[in-house]
Amino acid sequence: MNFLKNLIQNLVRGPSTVSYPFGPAWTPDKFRGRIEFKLASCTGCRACEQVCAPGAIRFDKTPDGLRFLMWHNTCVFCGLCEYYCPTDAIEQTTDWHMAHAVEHEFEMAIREVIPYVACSACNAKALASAPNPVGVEPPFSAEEIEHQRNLCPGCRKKALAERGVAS
Amino acid sequence: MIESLYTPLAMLIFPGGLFALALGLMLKGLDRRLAARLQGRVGPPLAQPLYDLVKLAKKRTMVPDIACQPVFLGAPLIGTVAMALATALVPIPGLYTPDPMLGDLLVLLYLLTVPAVVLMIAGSASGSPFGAIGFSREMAVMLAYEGPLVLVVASVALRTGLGQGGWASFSLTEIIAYQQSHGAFLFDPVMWPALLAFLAFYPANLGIIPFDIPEAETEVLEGPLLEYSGPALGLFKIMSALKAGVVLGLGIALFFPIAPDGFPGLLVQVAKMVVLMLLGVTVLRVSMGRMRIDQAFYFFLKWPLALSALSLAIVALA
Amino acid sequence: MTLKEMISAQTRRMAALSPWIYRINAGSCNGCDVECATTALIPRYDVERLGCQYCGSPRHADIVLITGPLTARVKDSVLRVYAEIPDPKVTVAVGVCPISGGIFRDGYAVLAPISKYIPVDINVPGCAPRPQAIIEGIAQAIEVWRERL
Repeated sequence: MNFLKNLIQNLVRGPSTVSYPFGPAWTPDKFRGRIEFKLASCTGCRACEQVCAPGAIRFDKTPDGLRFLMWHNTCVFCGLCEYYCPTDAIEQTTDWHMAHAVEHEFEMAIREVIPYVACSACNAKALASAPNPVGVEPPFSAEEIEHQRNLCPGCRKKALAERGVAS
Repeated sequence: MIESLYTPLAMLIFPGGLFALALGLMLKGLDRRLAARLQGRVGPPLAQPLYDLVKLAKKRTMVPDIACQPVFLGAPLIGTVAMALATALVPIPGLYTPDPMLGDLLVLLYLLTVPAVVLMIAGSASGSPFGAIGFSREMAVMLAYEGPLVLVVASVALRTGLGQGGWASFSLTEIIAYQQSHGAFLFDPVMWPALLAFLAFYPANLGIIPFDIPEAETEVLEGPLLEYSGPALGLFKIMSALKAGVVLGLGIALFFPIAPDGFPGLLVQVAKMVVLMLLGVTVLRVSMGRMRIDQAFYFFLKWPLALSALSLAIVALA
Repeated sequence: MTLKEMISAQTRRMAALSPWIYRINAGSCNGCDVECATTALIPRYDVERLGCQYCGSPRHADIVLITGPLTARVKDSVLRVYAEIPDPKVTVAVGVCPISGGIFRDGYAVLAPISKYIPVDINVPGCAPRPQAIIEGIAQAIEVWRERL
């Protein structure tokens, strides 16, 4: 007779249905949702492209720079790219509102370009990717990081060596 | 002239046809809403069965190549017409007595078998193997529940007839008049086994869990109705809504037809149907699982048959 | 508005309140199928509020949920069942597998994207999408279906 107790409890307590789509939906804090890409923090290491499980992330060399292309319709939200990115340029938000009509299928993508610039020291063609100096004492300040961004890899090494003791 | 118009009007507008359809749809809507609330969900709006019918009218009916087309398309039509006629035969105590020229309790019993037979024929005419399974299961269930039904009706008729000093009377008007003067059979201990048998019979007739094996969605992919779509399926839904009204009305007429005269009688009838539907169908539907076909068959051959035979024996001997 | 137009508008409004759902598993791993079942059966994400009802037969369906990348083995069966569904209908691709192959992309037995074989209307990405996301996709599909009625 347990079901009778359940029936009466259901009637008394009311429905336990969440109010979405007629109301807001609750999302947990650690929900693995849509990817967010911060161009300013990307070092161009392409680790995310290597570990992306379904191959949703792709880097292409274009005349303008290194293009980051990510298609949400292949992303399986595994979180490996976020885990392996050294600078937290890729992060998973909690956004899951991605249902779309099929005309917008290829608009559900992130297309960003890390541009080529002329090196401010030797004028060679350099990629303006974020510098990621790890384990340097004393740590780089924000202006030094911005200065390093516009240097080619050779000049970055020279600047680091001239700065202080290589550790 | 007026009398000859009366029967078609009774069949099409009130209490058959449109009124019975509205009543049946309302009962089904209430049933779905209450079932959802009992399960802790919100449930569809009350007019949902009406929306379903309107939507089905807008889709197209696809007929399979191997189906027998006249039977495939004609079966739901026959069922709906039979049920519309049956709604004109069920009396509303205090308000409406059916035209005696139409027929009476026995004709109503025959008409009540038509939806089940139509479902069987539709299942086999559709040519699909699931339809054939639905056909055989529907036949088994129908054979199982027809026996108790006939015995229940016989015991009620016998009680009425013997109480009036004659033989069994199969006239619904007489049964109602007898109960209105001598007390409803609901409160008559001699008729309680028959009442229990009827309460077991009508979920099976309406195709409600635990006895909805022929139309089981998860087991035989909706059985006989598998190949139907569009307006033909809508006719089946209309037939099932009308049948709910007929069977509930029959149950009320057989066991508890005490009602005031005139328009309040109609309200009392609707209220009784709602209570019977909600308690007998909805609560049963959400609290039980579906029985297997052999379980249901043996169940009907044991308990309802025994109860209704017991009631008939007691009435005959008393 | 003439009476005919008024009746037609009213019947369209009423018919759009009763979309019936049918689910086709085109070689899916069953994750999305479990989420679809959750949307319909569990009291928490009741999809019957929108008038939807899971039907057991493709002939009764209005909104088709397709899960899974179209595997080569099941392609003929899926196309055959899809042809049984009467018009007007709306197709919803649930999960990333029908849209692009998802995690099974470039597999030798996978014929994604399914839009090469079946006209899809709404995509619901996710692996597997949340029940709330599926309900959002179904709500958008109902809007599309309302136009087609």
